[in-house]
Amino acid sequence: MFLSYLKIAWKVLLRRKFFTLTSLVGISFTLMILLVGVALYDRAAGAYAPEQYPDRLLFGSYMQLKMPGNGEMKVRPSYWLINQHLRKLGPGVQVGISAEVQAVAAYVGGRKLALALKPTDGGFWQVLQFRFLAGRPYSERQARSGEAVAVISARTARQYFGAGQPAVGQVLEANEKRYRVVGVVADVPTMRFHAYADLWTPYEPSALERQPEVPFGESELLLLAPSTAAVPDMRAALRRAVAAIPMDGDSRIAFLPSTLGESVADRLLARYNWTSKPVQLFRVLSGGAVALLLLLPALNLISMNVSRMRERASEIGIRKAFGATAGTLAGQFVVETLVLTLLGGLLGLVLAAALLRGLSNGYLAAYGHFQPSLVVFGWALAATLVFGLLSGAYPAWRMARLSAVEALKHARA
Amino acid sequence: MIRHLLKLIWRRKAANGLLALELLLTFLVLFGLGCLVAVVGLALRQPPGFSYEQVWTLRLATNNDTLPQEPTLLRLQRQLGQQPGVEVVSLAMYSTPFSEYIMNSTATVAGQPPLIVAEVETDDQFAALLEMPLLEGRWFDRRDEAAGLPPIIINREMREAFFGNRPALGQRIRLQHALNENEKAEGRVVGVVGSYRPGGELGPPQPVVFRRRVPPADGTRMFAYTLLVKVKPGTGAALEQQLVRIVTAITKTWTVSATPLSDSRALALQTSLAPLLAVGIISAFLLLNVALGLFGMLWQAISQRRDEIGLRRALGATATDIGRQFVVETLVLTTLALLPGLFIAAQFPLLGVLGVSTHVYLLGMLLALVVLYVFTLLCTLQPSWLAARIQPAVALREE
Amino acid sequence: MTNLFASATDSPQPAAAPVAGPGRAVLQLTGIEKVYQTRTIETVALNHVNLTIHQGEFVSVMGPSGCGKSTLLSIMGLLDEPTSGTLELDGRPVQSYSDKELARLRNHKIGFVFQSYHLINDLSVLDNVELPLLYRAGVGGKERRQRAYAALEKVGLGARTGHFPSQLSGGQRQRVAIARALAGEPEIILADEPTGNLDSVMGEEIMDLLLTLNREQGTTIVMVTHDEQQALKTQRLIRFFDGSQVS
Repeated sequence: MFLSYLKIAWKVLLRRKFFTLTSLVGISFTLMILLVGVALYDRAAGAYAPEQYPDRLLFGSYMQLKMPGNGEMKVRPSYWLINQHLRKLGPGVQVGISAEVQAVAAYVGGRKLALALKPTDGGFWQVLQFRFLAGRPYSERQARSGEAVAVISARTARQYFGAGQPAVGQVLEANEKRYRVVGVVADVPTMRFHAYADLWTPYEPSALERQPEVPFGESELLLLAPSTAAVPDMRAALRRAVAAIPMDGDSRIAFLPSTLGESVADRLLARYNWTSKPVQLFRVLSGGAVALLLLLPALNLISMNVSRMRERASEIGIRKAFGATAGTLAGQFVVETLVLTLLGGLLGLVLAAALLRGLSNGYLAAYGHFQPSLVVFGWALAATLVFGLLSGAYPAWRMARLSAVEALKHARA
Repeated sequence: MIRHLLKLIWRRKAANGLLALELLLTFLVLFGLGCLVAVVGLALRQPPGFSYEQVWTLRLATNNDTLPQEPTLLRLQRQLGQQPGVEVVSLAMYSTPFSEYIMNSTATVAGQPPLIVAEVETDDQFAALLEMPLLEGRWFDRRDEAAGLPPIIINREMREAFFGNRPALGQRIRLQHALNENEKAEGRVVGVVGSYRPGGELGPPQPVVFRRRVPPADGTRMFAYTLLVKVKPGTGAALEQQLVRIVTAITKTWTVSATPLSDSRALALQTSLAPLLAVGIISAFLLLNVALGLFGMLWQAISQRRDEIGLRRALGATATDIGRQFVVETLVLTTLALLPGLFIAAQFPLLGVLGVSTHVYLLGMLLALVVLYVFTLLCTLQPSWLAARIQPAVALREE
Repeated sequence: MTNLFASATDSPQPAAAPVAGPGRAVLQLTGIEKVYQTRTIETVALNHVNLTIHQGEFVSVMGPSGCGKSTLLSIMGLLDEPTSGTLELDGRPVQSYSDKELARLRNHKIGFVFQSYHLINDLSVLDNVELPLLYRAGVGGKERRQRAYAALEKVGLGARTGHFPSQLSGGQRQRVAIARALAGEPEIILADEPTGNLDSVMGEEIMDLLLTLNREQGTTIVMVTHDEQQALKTQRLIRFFDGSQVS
């Protein structure tokens, strides 16, 4: 029975070429765009090393500073502020500090090698799980004393020391400063901006950030909770610790910790002075885009299904006249919708995989490897099915319940 | 004829309504895209007011150096300037072109409402180094050292905002840091430069005020400086390494990062064009769906309305009339869908929600209208041609 | 009503028509042949038809299905071109006319009535009747409305102008179609089995309407029919068999 349904469905789809084409294009392109969009977002905010446990991570990049008479300001904390006041945030909580990357230059045989240098403390290596290819991170003690040691990325090691050459224990000179390499880690995509750098070193002991009583700088706080359940406690502990920081006069500071996903949204929109609430704007924009991307193909499918049913009223009438029941007719339409949706879904998956492959090898090569998420694919496909059944099979079922005479009459008018 | 077509569209509102909704939504997205394009397009038409070729920025972090900074800075500028391959060196504090740091100040002139302006603190070489056109008066020079009231130079936007057609030279301007009420300054306008835009070609035109840097008498230490270095063409990594070496040798503890202005510009362009690209991709996808919807509706209409086409031909319509009817029907439907769209779009300039000039919105609307009309017209041509080709005798044949 | 006809002759003509007189030949078919060519077979729909329709005549055409009656009507209505032979309308051959000129001639001189009415379902009765005037240059909206209304009065449907075709019975729909043919004030009405879809009572009504039109207004009518009774009521009966005129 099912096989014969399948055969008929196939024939119907071949006969109605335009309907089939529009449905396939609508479904597959929507799925493709969704999958590519989610893959890009996932690459930036998904659970990959070094941010292997995004559910347990919090980032404190900005503080809200309220000064009476001067309004509010968004400022970044200094190393000193975090190190002095925010180190102890409860049992099992790892605390790390890092600064924005700085552009530095190394020179290899008269050629400039532009490197991104990220100053960090020792805790940074505990909060984030870098994959070490050789050596190990520098310790908190080394970081505190500001030793000239560095962890470098595999690419930097290759470009500076040459492919296959040992890097650990060697000296790398950047911006006229000589660093002893203690570890080599797998490359981090630039999208992973909390972790990304080519070269990680301890803060300079002379850095302004490290001087006592300098509360604002260019650093951020990285927190790792022992478990997902402990995150609310960690937030609360941070709030208490910040409240306990002594401030001049009536000034107040508050930390605005964000999850990995929130910080990505923040980062994406922070370059544009459109809003003071980038996370909300990001949600609205991406939600709106997804809604539009789903709505338009849906409208096309509905309008086509409706007129298709009108066209097929006579077919239904004839089938009924020859003894088909409402159930068998509805079954036929369900199978048609299933075939169409699955075909479109498969096509969308193939398109998305091909596009992501192209992007990974070309335009977005610096951002790491992308692949479509099968979970998202599953959900999107399920949504399409439900929608297809509602838009296609429901009118069909109603039509199927008409008596043969009514259906034929309907066809004439 | 339009009335006749309106009646037909109204009677077929179930099928037309969905398509009209698609057209409306697409119009709104295209309106957004059009506004972004208008912002970029309007900005690109104006030169940025400076030249970025062969200019490097050296960002110096003083790292809490305890020595007096002024002598170091002077030595540094002299040494860098003497390098073969270096043409000019200028000290620009923070606010260099394409920099993320913009210092905002509130500027006031007697009898005028205050204005938020970008403030640039710099030296005598800045304008020459960046090849900024001077419209009136002069740039800073040694004469200013003895001036009673500090000299101030403004850009064209600020001149227009404050002085209109009245003379600007010699006017007094008071400045106050936008966030810190205690930082105040006053000065007299000695020159007007062209429409300098720190964001470059894609940055918005904005009023900018330049102040001549005075070395602090009390030895106040800053935690960063920016030097602009203009180099001769054809110099590369070797010179850059040399410059970095000089900085390290002279300052001992300072750190430095060198970036060509052209690199900063590329990054700024990327930042400005990214949303354009994103909205563009979404628009393209929406238009694809509109095209599918239009084709579907028109083809279906033509097959379902074959006898109507035959009948109209029998009653005296030419083939051209039939083709035109389908084109006009689609354009009327598009217009119906766009009316509420235009009404919604018109709210933006009327309410002034985003602080963008009315020009941008009008251009955005115009662009969206043109794109959508041209697009629907293109989608209609083939089906209309099909409809026009239908033979009346065949279409009317009784089955 | 005479007023209506006066305006028909006043309206711009594509060719200088000779002065109308009784018995003048309106349509003259000479050696008309129509062959349909498909890849495998050649079907002769009309075979050397010579026929003259005079002004004021009511001619009926009979014959079995597929004998070429509808093709003949299409050719007389300028909807289809004969493979060979000449067709003269008002004494002028129509081969030389462009598509645009043919459309004008159809609009001014010919009215059609079809077996399945061919009303546009999405237009009201009045709008349907206005249709031929919509394609006529120089007729304003108000005049269109008046003339369509007058035509509907003539077929006895003056009270149904706001209805839609789906709300009418078959006979009423055909009367709307006749009103539409009348609204353009044509010289000739070509009717293709106008009563074919109707029961005998309604068919009788439509037949009476056509007879009255012919008698009182002198409209030339060519009607294809299957009904011997109806055919006998007309002035002349032409029989067709296999593409040829047999009587």
